[in-house]
Amino acid sequence: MNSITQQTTDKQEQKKLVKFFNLQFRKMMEQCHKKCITTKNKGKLGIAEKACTDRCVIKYIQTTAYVNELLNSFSQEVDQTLQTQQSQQK
Amino acid sequence: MGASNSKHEKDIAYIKEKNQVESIIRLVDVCFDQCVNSFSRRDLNKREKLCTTQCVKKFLEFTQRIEERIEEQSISERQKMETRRNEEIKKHFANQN
Repeated sequence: MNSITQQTTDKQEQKKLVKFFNLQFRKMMEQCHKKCITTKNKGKLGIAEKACTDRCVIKYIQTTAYVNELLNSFSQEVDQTLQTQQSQQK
Repeated sequence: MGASNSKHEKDIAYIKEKNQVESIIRLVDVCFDQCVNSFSRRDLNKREKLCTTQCVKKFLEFTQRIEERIEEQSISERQKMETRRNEEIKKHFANQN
């Protein structure tokens, strides 16, 4: 039972991750295009646009990691507050 | 009966998790849009991190407020429905007499 269930769960987790990355990728593309691709007429990326795009991707990924850190620390604060309340009630 | 219930529970759990994940993606997007505007360096600087922190806090407060209002509305809707149903029951018995 365990190995088949585990395989199904792994596949589901994989699907979730892929969906997550797809959505994030689209959003990142929108943002970086909006902020970095400024010229319209030429058929190639300019030097500044290339550098901006590279850094934009890095910063977007860093922002995602930072937001996840914040959410974790906020939820830890809530848990701690709840624990303190519960122990006070006892 | 038991099997379809637990599938139902799983579906609901999946929808809730999906909603949560999509909210986080939206949150990152909003805060990136507001806070990160210069790309002269690769790493987030202090100002951008501070802006992001404030943006996240505000977004969470915003989400919570919306959930509170929705909860209030659904309670008041339920109360209205009960009142209406009670009225109809009274009328029904009044007509019978």
